[in-house]
Amino acid sequence: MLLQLNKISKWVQSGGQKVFLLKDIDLWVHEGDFISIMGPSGSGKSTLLNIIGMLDDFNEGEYAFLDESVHTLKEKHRSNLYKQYIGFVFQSYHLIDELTVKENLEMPLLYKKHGGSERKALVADMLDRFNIVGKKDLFPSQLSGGQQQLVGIARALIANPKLILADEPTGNLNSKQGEEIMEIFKELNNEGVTIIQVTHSEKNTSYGSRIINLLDGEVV
Amino acid sequence: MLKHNFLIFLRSIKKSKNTFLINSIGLGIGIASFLVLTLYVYNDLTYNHFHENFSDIYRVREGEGTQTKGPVLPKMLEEIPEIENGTRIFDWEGARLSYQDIAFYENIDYVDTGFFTLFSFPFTEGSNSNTIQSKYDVVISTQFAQKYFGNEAAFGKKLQVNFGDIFLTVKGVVEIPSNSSIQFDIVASYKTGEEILPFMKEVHDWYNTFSTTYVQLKSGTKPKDIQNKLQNIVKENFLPVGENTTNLNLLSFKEYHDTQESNQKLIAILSIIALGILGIAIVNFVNLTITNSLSRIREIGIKKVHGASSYDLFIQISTESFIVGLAAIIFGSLLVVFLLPNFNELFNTNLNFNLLENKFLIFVLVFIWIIVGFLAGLISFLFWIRVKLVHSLRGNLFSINKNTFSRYSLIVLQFVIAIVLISGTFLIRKQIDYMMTKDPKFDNENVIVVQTDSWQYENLKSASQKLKLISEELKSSAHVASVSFSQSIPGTYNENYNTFFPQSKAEVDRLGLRKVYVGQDYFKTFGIKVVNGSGFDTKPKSLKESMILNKTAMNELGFEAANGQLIHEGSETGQAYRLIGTVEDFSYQGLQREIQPLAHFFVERESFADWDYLSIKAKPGASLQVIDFLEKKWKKTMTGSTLTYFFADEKLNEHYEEYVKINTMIAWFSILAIILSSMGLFAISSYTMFRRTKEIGIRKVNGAGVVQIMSMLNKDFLRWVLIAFIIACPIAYYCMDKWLESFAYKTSLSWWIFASAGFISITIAFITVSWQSLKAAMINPVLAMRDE
Repeated sequence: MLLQLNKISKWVQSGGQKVFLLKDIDLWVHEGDFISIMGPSGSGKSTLLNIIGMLDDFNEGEYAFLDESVHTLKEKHRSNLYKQYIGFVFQSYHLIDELTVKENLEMPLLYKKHGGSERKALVADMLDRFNIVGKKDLFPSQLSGGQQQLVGIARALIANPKLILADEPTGNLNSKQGEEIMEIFKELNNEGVTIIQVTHSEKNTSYGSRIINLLDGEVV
Repeated sequence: MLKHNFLIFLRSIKKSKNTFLINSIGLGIGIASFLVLTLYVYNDLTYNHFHENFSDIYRVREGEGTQTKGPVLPKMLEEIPEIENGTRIFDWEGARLSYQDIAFYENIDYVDTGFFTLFSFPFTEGSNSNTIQSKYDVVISTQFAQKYFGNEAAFGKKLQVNFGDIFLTVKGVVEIPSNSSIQFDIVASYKTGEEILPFMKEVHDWYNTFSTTYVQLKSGTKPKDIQNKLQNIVKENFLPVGENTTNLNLLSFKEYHDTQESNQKLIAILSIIALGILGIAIVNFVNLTITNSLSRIREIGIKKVHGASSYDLFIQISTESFIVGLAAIIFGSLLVVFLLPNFNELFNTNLNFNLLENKFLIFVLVFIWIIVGFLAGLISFLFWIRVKLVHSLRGNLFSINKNTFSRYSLIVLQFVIAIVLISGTFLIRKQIDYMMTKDPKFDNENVIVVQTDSWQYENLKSASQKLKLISEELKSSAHVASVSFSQSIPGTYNENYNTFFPQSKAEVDRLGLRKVYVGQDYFKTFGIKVVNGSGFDTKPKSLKESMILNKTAMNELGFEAANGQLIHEGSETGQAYRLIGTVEDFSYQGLQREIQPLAHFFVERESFADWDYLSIKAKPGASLQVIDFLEKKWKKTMTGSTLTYFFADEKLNEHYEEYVKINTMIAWFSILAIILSSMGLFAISSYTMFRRTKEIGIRKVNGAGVVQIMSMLNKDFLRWVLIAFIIACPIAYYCMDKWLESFAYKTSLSWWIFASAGFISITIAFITVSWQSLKAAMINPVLAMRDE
């Protein structure tokens, strides 16, 4: 078991009332899963993904990641967890504008204290694997959306994570670019990487093995 | 990692050049002004420290007076073994000194032979041992050497005294530090002095108090240890012997400077301004750094997600603020290097910005650097970690507490300082104008004053005749109304007082009067109104032993009019003078001081060369013709001497120079304060506009025009400046009222001083904010709302 959510709830206070963003969510994820979270706008998909990614906290329930309970962890340990095991892919790519493709890929390694030559080797591998060697010295603004997302995925993968969390990875792309990205996810999944994606598109869910439907913060 | 941080920093300043420039230039200016003022204060605090015996040097005082009687020092050296060394300085009268055909009138200081072992003046030629042991040996300053000998070596050169056969031999040249209490052009020994000034021996008695005396105590000895011995000297020698109770005491050299020479009030004001300006600049720096780092909140989110720890982020932001801080320090230092010469010229200082020589400066700079780098880094960092990760990834700043007041309060504070300084500038200017334009009650338009400068003449007898001749020629000119010789003119009256005893019935039985000696037609020439009686314009014979008082003196005596009342000088039986006239209370000193009771005495001099000034009153409108005539006559008659003349109020106006300087300085600092405050406002408004982009978009979609949006945005900021104005007014009023207290004759605190200071600040603030708000108001609402 990679991670387990047990009766997770999150709410905000609005006008003296609790408004639930998520309510009593139970979720098991095994290594090698490819899960799609679906639901209309405001159903809590992104919130759920953020909680899984430990970017956001929750009000109630239990969350265990590799049998460690996340909600009792200190900030520092939590960040160690996602440093080691989790890679993120975002709808708007979230590349750092001031860094070139190569430097964007290198960035996570800096924080994991890899040596210079090791960093270079890993970055070269990634550039190779995604066929973007020719773009290594370009800045994000010089790339198309699809290329940017490719870099985003490469960056998420560079530290060899067990889990990829993708928040509408194809949301800003045209359908052809979107398909390419999904093919890559599928390949990764075949190699054993666990993937959880949030998506609007029925078509994207077909790449996954499991679908979780959310409505008004609850699993339906 | 460091390389990565540098890279990101360099690329991000390329993107936001303005912020970077405003930031480093703003802080640089702040640092520069802080440095200059620090140098000034530091210079003052380290006065005289270059003397090796500094902590053991004392100035001998009689009571509160810093002059002593001549024989005090020899007596002290003889009777008090705890005194290691000592010297007197006697500068009574200068002399004409010449080398080949270069001649000037110089002040010669006569000192004891202990002078150069007690003090540690750095010699550039010769050495401090035995320099002035032999008669006619002298030590000169580097400026003096430059003046007479140019770049040639001065050692061994001989200077002629007056036109006689005494020659002084240069045995040393010293470079006197600017922060030395003792400044001299040329020093000679007492032995030499007694040859040049034969009366010198006479005035060194137990009656006259003309010497400046310094002693060096054996190290470890405190003044109180020898107090009894000092009192013994008073008892046994001071007149009348046995009854004199003068408190002979020692004042440490440090305290002497602090209490007698340094303008502690100005030092305090400058220190506060320096800290204030630096404070404004640092606040700006921090504000700008925060603003800038908030615009990069997304980058931080991305980095956190990829495993950057708080420590990593702190290092990154600190690196950046340390680099900007360093840029600011370098810019500020360069600014000091370029501006210090101007400052020195303006304030008659000789400040030096030399980092290698002055460790203290390096310390100050490093200190500022650390404070600025660390503070800006830390505060931005605190902002960063407070933002939730999900929000920072969205670039969303709304989760940050809107602690607007604490941020705006800094803006308010900055503008308060700026407004107070601006109104201070206006007030000081107004007071100066008031003093300079107030009717001096003498003729300041048509009176031309000539310095007789008698030292220039070898033959005083012929000089006297020539002066007489020239004055008669002037008198007979059609353009001249009258001429007069005098010892002083308004603005140069000596501090010469004595007590006078009226013989007839008066309101007081004695009165202290300030004494002035003038020649015939003095009042007539200066256009000073004689209220009753007569001026000194009748026949000299009839004016013998007569005096003229000003109105203030008459009022204090309770005399209605002058009609020959007898007044005795010094005691009831002293020399009697006839009171023959009363004059208007004209200005004879700066208006910062109250008009005192004055007594003008009529004197005749055998030699006209004994007078210091020859004043000429031109007929109305004929000043230029008179000057022309004077120059021609002078050239013809007074061959070989230079003519120095000026209008009658010039010496009076010199009393206001210090205020003009202070005014200039405060004006500069108020300009700086307003610029720096505007920078702060610029930063904070750009930040706020950024945050309100969406709101602006929504308003525009709903039909708001550019003008309406601008006025909405501007209103918010101007409110804070207005609050600053309201707070600043009473503070400014209080400060200015206090400052004016030191003036006997003061201008009024008009409302327009505050109004214009407020108007200037609000206008500048308005322009600054509009710059930003116009940009915000013009934004395309589609762009503004796209984030959602």
